[in-house]
Amino acid sequence: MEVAIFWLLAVIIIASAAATVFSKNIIYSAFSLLFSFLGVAGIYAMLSADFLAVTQIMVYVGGILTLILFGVMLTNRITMMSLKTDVFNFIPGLTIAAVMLAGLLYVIWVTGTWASDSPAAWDTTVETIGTLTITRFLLPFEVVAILLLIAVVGASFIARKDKQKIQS
Amino acid sequence: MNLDALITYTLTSTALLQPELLVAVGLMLILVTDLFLKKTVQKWISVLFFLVMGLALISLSRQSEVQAQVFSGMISIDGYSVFFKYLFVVSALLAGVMSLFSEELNQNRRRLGEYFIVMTGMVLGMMLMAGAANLLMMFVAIELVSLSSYILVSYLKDDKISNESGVKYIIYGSFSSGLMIYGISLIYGITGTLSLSEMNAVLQNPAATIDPVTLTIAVLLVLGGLGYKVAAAPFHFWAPDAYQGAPTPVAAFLSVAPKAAGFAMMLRFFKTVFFGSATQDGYVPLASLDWVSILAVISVLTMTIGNVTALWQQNVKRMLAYSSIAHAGYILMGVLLLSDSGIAAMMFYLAYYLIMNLGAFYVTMLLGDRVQSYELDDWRGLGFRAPVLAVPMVIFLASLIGIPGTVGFTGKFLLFVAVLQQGSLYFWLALIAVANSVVSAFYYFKVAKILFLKKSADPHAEPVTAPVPAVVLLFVFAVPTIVLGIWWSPLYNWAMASVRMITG
Repeated sequence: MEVAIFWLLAVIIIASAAATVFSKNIIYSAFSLLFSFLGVAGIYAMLSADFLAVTQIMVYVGGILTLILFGVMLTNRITMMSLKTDVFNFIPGLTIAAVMLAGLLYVIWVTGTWASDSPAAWDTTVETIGTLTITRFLLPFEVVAILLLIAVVGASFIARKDKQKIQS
Repeated sequence: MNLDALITYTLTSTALLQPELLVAVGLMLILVTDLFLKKTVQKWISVLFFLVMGLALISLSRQSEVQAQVFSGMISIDGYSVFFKYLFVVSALLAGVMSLFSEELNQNRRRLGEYFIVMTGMVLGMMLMAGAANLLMMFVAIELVSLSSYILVSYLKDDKISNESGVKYIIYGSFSSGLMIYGISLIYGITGTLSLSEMNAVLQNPAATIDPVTLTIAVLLVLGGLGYKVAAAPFHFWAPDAYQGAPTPVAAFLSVAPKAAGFAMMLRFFKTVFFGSATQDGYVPLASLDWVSILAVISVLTMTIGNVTALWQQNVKRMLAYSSIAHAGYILMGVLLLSDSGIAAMMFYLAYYLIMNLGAFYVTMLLGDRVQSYELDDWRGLGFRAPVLAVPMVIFLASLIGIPGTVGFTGKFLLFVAVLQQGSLYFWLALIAVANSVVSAFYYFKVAKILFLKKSADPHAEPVTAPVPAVVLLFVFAVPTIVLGIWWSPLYNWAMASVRMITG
């Protein structure tokens, strides 16, 4: 049963990711990305990472993807335009991608024993994550807060409309 | 751990993290002050920035003897990280002063508040990078630095090239972050820990069955992220584009400070995780991964690609970008030597590289602002029109080549001696580095030649000058470049003493 669900999710993720990349219409690309994100959330749920699964749906599906779709729809003419998806440096790119794929597949194939943790009963992970965030991982958590602050400052600076025109 | 103990522990950790805390608080202070400053007095926000950096320096000077791990082993505070934190704060101060003299930053009534906010954030990120002793902390710190640099590079919003270089930088940066986090996940998967010292314990355990190929691939992926920060081949492609489009003070800052942070982090990563046992002057790496050869290949590739490509550059900023790639190649030799003298030579190199490279970029900025061009062709005969600016430029160039009498020679000498001390195995590495230095002389001299030996296209061109404070700052860069070349032992001894204090 578990294996069947895993393969179903895997097929959904890969197929919709491929559709995202190869589709010439940006709306189709954006919508197939949705299924890819949902599939990954399913994998997280299968791994008992309930918090991650919910976050994945909230942040990626609920936030980022909606923003992308709004951006696409509000941008005039972009729906009519056919995307220019030329492939540059086909042979070198393919070689590097193939080598990396082979390397990573080898890693997965050869490493029999990943460090693993299997408690007797799976419980919700939210409480553990919450506790760890304010104890062991307090400093990274705070630094991420500053990172986001910088991101907000930078984004609002770059997005703000200035009076002067862009010089070429 | 109960609540009281937890609070006490957090407070003790926080007290030890005083310099970082000062910078973080300063960041918020600048942010809030900037909201209330009128546009006409907006430039004064820099005063606050200098104040924060000055306080951070004072706070750092009180940490010279501290040796501790804080926040559950996230950050190591030791002489080694303090040395680097000095470098970051000093270079931020100098780059901050440079920014005040930059015309491209100050024209069009551009706001500088965000500039200093983001720069403060970047300093914080680099300070954390130098101390990070946990893969998660390393990643968060590196991201903080990267994100800040993206914003700074594309700070000239009304300039197309700046926008373009910002976008290129973000794409390369996100790609290498992706590689790095993939590598981190593999390392976590095979060792079951994120802490560098625990990882070392797992790898040292003879019972552990760790596939060497998996480990190599994971480390290579992590090196992708680190190599991108120091602009080492094959992750150097962003540097010329980013430096060319960025405001010149930002390019100068990027070429020294994040590079030093990347090297600080790289060395701590390799020395802590793959540490086997200590010998008299150095240490023996774990046998399970031949990272020394990996780094040696990257080092040779980096210096050769950097120097050879620089030969063809017609734009001074692009040329300096390739030159900084080449220098990353030399510095990498210090990382892979496995000896205290190698690490000390690397730290010494990074410290003076900061001064001379900031200096070279500073002159480039002053001349470029006045001629309105960074193309070498437009700089013909500029040496006679602006001797006050061009003569220090020749000093910096001589130091970048490594001509005796300048600090560039001393630093390269110390580094090559450290390489040769490790035995004949490294002889070829030193040989390639020397050959590369010879190649580099061609393009550095080309600039000097164009400044002084070529006739200007317009024989009646006006002399070029700079305001007096700007010239004074020029001497702040030029004098140490000469003085440190002769009187180098205090800085080197300090680096050596800091090396001895590296904690896991």
